[in-house]
Amino acid sequence: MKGKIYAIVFLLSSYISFSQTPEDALRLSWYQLKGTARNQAIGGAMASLGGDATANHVNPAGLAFFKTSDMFITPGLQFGKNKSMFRGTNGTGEGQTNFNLGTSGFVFGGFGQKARNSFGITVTQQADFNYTTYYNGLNDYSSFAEPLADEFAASGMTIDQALSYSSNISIPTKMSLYTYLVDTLTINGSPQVIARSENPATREQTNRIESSGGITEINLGWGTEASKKFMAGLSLGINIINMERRTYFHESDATGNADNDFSFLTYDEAFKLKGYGINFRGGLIYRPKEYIRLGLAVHTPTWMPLTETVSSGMAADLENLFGAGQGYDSVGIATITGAGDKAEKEYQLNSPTKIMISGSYVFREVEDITRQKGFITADIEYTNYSWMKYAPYEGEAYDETRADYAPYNEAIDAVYKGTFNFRLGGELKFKTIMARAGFAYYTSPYKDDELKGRKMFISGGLGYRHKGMFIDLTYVQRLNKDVNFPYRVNAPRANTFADLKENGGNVLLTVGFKI
Amino acid sequence: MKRQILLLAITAAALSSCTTAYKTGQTPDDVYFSPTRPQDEYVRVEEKEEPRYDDEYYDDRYLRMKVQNRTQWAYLDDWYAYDRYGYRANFYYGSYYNPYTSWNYYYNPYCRNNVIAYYPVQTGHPGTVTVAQNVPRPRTFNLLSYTNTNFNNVNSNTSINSKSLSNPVYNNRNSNNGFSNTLKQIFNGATNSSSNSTYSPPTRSYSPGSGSSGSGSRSGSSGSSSGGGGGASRPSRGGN
Repeated sequence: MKGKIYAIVFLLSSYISFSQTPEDALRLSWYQLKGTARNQAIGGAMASLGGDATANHVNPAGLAFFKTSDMFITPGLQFGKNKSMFRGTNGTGEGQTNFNLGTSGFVFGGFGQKARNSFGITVTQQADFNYTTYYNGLNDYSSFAEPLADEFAASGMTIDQALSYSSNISIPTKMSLYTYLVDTLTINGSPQVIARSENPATREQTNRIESSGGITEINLGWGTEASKKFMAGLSLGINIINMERRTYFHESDATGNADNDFSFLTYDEAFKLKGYGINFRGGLIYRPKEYIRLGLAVHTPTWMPLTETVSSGMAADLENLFGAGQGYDSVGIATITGAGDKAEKEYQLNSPTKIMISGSYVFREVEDITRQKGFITADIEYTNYSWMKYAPYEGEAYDETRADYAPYNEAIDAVYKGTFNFRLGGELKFKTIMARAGFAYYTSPYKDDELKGRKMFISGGLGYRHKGMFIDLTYVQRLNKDVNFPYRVNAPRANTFADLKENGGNVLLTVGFKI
Repeated sequence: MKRQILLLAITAAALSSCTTAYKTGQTPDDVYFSPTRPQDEYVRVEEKEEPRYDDEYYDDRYLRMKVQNRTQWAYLDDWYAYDRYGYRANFYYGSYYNPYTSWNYYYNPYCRNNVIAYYPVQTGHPGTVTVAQNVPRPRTFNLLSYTNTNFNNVNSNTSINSKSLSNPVYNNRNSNNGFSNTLKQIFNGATNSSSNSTYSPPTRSYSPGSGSSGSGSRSGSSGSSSGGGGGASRPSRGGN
């Protein structure tokens, strides 16, 4: 009996909340693999080249090229600005500058029989979530409250039932009911669900998203030279995930009518996602003859147990609905849930598997550095973002099943597709000085051609290697495109979204020593 | 940011103080060719392994001593034959003082066997407690909204222009207008007249399931809720 009481207390003090979205899964999976300054200068291509510590998390077989040992650090400075287009209106987000860390750590080469084994331990900030998105525009078609009213209408509940703590109605919908933004009304004798923000024919909508955090990965890798022609490698990646996002959505009556029961609504959400991830990377490099290197690498999904925390609030001004100047009210999450100022949930997300093939031409593979002239290298990567999967968190004491997550995974299948990504780069070497250039293109993960998404990187850099030390300086220009949906509505109604352009740069400096 | 720069400076200083074996001569570039590490210019002597004091060691020592002088070490025969095993005869049961194999393992915090685990809910297990679960969802989610590939990104009213965006209109409360009249007609149950605009908000029927409280019509302006137990109550707001 005592145990049962404990169980009840335990359950009541916890929440099962579903707020994970396909968009968040994509944010944790769609990013360019980062590396050392030298690697980023050549577009990030590293699936066949080897001899650079970036191989530790791209193709660990490339570690086998190390017969000597390195220690190195790669600080970076990233800056940029988002531009947007929302329903014909251009917008610009605030500029953002932040510090980041390219591949840093140690490679220990030349161990074991005939010095064939090498090991690497590296730390890399793989994803950077520091950005500010802003868009604003007039909308004469739909309102933020439309999906909220739809959800309530489809629930078959009364308002009191929907507002009860145990109902499965989403928090924003409950907030809209609480503030009378969504309500019921008898029209022509038939009861209907209305959203008062739909009263004006045109609304001005503003969405501002401030995001921070990133994914830092620690890699432990091993590469071995099976023969003069074959190299193999394996690495373990441990991810530390931290994403924080503040979303501020504002919608106001753009008609100038002060007596239509809607002046404005504001929805404010603070979202935190923390967790870790584990993945494995394996690969082979084949050297059929001098100059030529061919690579194959496979990245397993990153298995990410995540803890999500959401806190939110809503305000609405319904003008003179309750008397002159009495239309404003606001509500926070604590009132809606009846416990605490945030909702928390643990779940698991798996990123998609990646497969890479690659080729390099290295001129020449000789010890005398005066005869080393340069290389070109290219990677082709295939991944399928519909392979991303949400699942219940294994260690959680909730009675959840994979079926509970099926709609989210079906939405991922519906929206995302497989993509080919390309990385290309080269280096010219002049004894101790090197010049590099590179290009990378990540194609759209969206199935629908109307949604323009891509990541494009153009890079260049210089290197210096002498007296046991190496210094590489790189600049990477980002030219990314993406879309953002402020809310989604059901067919046959149409969705609206903002087109985003993210342009910016990243300066990376690798300083390292032969040890 | 300042802290990060300071950290970077300290790291750079630490790195630059490192010694390297490649101060002179060419610095290898592992991308092109990586030579084996420079060898020491002196003879490397393999360090002798630490002796292992196991049964084999004692057997060897006993044999060496007996070969040297068969009688001198006779008084140690018993020890080498069986006493040395006898002194640890209780090793199967563990030393009383060894926390990992102790007889009192049940109460010993180091022993894994006595971890008392309690799983509050396991479906299908005897004693499962079924509790109505609290399910706050921080966002709306509908699969149909993701499979919906209809897009509307252009405003149909061409008179809308971006100039109005610079002046937030929610502060301009003109008392003008036909729309409120329309709304008042709705409140009064009159026919929903259409405006000249092409805008038509979606309609949704309100049909709460049977057994629900307060089903049926609800005045949008009266604004009160009974707020039954276990839920948020809409604040009572006086209306027209």
